[in-house]
Amino acid sequence: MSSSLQYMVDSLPFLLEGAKITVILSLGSIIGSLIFGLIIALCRMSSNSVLVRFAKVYISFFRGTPLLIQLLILYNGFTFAITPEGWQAALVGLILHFSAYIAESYRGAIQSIPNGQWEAAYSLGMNYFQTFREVIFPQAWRIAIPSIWNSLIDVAKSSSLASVITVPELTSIADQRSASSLIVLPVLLEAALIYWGISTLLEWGRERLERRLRLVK
Amino acid sequence: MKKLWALLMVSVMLAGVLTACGNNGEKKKELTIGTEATYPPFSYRDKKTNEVTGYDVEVAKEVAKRLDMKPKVVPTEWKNMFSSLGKRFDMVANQVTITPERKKQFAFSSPYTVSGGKVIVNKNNKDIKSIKDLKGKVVGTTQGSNYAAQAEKAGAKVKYYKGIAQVLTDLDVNRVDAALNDELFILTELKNTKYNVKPVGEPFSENKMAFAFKKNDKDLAKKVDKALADMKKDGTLSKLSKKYFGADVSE
Repeated sequence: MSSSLQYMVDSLPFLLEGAKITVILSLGSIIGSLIFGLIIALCRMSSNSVLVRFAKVYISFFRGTPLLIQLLILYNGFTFAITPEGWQAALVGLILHFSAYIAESYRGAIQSIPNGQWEAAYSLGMNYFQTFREVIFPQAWRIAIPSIWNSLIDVAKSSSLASVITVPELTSIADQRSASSLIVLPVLLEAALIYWGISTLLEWGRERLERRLRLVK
Repeated sequence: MKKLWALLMVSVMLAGVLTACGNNGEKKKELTIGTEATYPPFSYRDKKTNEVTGYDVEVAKEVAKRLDMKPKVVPTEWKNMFSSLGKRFDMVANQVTITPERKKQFAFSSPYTVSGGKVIVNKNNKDIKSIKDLKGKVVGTTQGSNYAAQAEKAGAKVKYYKGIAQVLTDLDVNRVDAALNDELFILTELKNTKYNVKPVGEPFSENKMAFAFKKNDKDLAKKVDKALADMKKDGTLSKLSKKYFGADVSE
């Protein structure tokens, strides 16, 4: 047991190195999917039937297939033309996958704003884009926060799948170190606790943000 | 609101910059080496430094030095190993056994390890004494490994795992009946673990392990062969071998 404990102590700095990659990858994916998700949501609600169809198929595919398969396809599927690095495939995969979820969160929030507000804005002579920017979106993103935030915590945890495609993040470091020493459970538990810490921080961030936006009564 | 837009704009730009600096070519020739880093003592992470090391990794690095190239280790799961060969790295250094099937698909260097495969069972197991007893039993192996093929040939039900650590963890609690692995692994690593498992019987096969290359990369394979031959001659290979196994396993 003592050797396991010693190994846990020895492993901590390296696991934290991996956690750094996890956090960077997650943040990149989060920012990417917040932007791309909005684009998809706007396509989904546009009056152009081609865009609507594209958005529907997109959301259906990326929500309806496992992230692991998507990552493996991105990593191994296009090597005849382009050979992405593991982190590139992971970043793109996470953004594509979570944009689909976040798009739906946006859509729900935007559609929850009463139609009367659109009409009121139009009657003041605003066009579609102005209305969206000045009236609708400032309200909608606040409403979307709770469900989007769930996706964000999901991004951080799902980034562990990037370990399969050589990204040296927390899970893969834990995996390699536990196999290297054949001391498995302690190292995996250690990694799990670090993930838990990351999720807890995100959860705490949400509470603070919601308090500031006075959504929490 | 303005702040939010500014933030959005900045992040769009950031994303653009990030993707832009993907690949910039290097002048110095690199020898990229695919290896699992989850297979002690051949390829693993050092306890203290976390550097990928091991017998195979050290042999590969020495080869690179002699070719006047910079070795770069690319830790890769076994399932992605051969699909990445020639694309993400130049050669595989991971106790790859030379088999007729693989010879059709890949180029190999001359062997740098000669060893045998052995059956490993749970300590309480009384009825498996050799590979012949595996018919109908559940054997845990790594996907696409030479031992997976051996187990199938022996008529076992095969369960696939990511690597040897996961197999042993399951053998320990009897979720599989047996595992097959390299005798050298058993002699060096297995005896230091707390797993409730034991090797049984004599080695059932002689395996020759070599570096694997892309089929049309004969040029590199030749160069590596030359370096290996030199390392055999001047004793470097047997020195590395003794360091890890206490005996010369390169012949």
